[in-house]
Amino acid sequence: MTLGIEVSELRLRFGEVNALDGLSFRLDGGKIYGLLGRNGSGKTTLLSVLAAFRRQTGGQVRIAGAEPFENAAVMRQICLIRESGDVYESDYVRTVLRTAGELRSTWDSEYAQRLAERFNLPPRKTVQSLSRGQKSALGIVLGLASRAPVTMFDESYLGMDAPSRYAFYDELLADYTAHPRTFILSTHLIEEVASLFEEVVIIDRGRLVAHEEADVLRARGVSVTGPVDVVDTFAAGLTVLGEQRLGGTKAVTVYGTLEPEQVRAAKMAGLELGPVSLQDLFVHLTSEAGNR
Amino acid sequence: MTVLKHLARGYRVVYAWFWGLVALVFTGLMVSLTIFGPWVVGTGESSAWGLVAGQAPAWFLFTMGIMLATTGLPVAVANGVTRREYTVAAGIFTVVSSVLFGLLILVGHALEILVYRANGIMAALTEPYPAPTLATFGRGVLQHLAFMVTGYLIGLCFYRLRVWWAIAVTPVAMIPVFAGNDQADVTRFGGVWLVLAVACAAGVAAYLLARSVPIRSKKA
Amino acid sequence: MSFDERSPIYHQIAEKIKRDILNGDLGADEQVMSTNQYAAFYRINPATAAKGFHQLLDEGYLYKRRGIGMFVSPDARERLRAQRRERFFSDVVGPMVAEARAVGIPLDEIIQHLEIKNKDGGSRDPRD
Repeated sequence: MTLGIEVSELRLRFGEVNALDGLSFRLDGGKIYGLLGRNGSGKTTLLSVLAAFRRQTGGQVRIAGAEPFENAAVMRQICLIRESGDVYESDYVRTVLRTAGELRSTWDSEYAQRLAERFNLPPRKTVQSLSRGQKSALGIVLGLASRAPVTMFDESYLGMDAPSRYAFYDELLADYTAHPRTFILSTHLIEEVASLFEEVVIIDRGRLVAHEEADVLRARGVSVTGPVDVVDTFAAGLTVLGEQRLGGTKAVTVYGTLEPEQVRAAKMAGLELGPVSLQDLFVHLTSEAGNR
Repeated sequence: MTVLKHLARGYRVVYAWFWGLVALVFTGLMVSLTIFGPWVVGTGESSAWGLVAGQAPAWFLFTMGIMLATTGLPVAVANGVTRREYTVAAGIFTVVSSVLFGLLILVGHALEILVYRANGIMAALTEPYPAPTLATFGRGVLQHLAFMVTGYLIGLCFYRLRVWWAIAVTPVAMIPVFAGNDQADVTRFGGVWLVLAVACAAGVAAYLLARSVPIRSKKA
Repeated sequence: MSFDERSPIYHQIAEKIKRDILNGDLGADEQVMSTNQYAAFYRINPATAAKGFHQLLDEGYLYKRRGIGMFVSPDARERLRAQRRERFFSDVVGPMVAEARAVGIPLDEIIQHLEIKNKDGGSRDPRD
């Protein structure tokens, strides 16, 4: 089941702050998407609007062609797991899972049981007595077992230790393969999860910075290193995201794919070309200095 | 319907605890009554059950109303339920709870009459025993309804509004409680309608507050 | 091995399988992992993995048997070897000579070294 998600000119104001500032993009659905942005870039706000947790102050959201806010047909197909967890703190773990089963028509309770065991969640403990990692794991169970056609994790896995996070990645891939649906994972720590994404949406200050296939983005950054004046001449006219200087040597990060003749020219001029990791590209695209 | 079932499943445990506690106190009173005589209840009061189950169930439902708003609503929305669906289900659940509690109060009276008769207390009462009529039943149900709706409304005020605003509107939001306590005399025709009207107004106010309420992140 | 975030993963997948074919780790007509197995094993997006496999199918290094899976083409290894041989001098020898010149190693010394290596059996790079 694939539900397309379309966001156009989306705005959300909190008093003086524009958490979302004219954000537009389109997701076909049925893929694993990475939503990347720094802290405070508007990731949680965006996901909260998509999940109908709050209403935007301007612009449009369409999920499967319809506005999600207070739309029963759309809302029951969406599941957002926020880092803080939208569960009742005094409830037992098993009560939380039972509640999801009672309210969600797509819920798979056997799968939930299996996941809860895998993540060592004690069913007879209350939510407030869980460790941070266990709370995150509870969120993972709620999200995966919801089998919601649009399932979103808002940094909800960052509180877990490495083995649990890897268990989450494994479960995510396995369940996505068995039951294809739309997943959106938001994060500001990219290196570890990037290989899970098919497409990546980068936002900053409530605006879209990039929306690309992850592999396309990986090919998009080039670092150019060499003598200051040679680098400057070469980089003139290119999109430079960031630069560093050490004595007479300069390194710039160029956004975009170089043409073969550009590569040749760079080598002729004695410049060193290198790849840029997705994480570095993200840092450059969203840093204060990286105003394109 | 699924939301209503969910509420019924979730709250039946709390309700059972509450009535278990009430039954325990009541049983204690009845036992002492049969041993030590009617003076245990005190003068001026003829029904021990009236003491135990007079105000407590209403205030209990008031707190249940608060819970329905502050913990139930966000969890439901997070599970893909619309605010409207939840408010309708919570409304029906409020009516069902009020009627259920009204019936249980009747049952208590019936039991008390049996105990009184068996021990010859009925004849010794200085005040007449408040006979459980349809009117007292109706009065109870209305009172419960008013209290629970008020709880829901006040819970929503505190969930949705800034705390000072919520405190400021609380006296107004409490109107159904005052009305429910003093005016729900079914023998006086106007009283019934007044309580019903005020409770409905509170319900509408609650829906207006609920229908666009943002489900905030706990940290932010 | 794991994939790095500095170049397209589908490309890295294709390269890795080519290397396995070249080394003989994957023989002719041998079945390769399915896209989903591959994705799960290396924790990568299944669509990304599929893209890597598609490239190999398009280039003819793999072939598909409906409902069974993907297999190594009988001529895959030979074709890869021919291709790598072509690129050997430009990709390997060229940079080596340039490096030798930069650090001051005379050509005869390199040749001498290569001859000794060859006598030792010239086993393949253990890093693979």
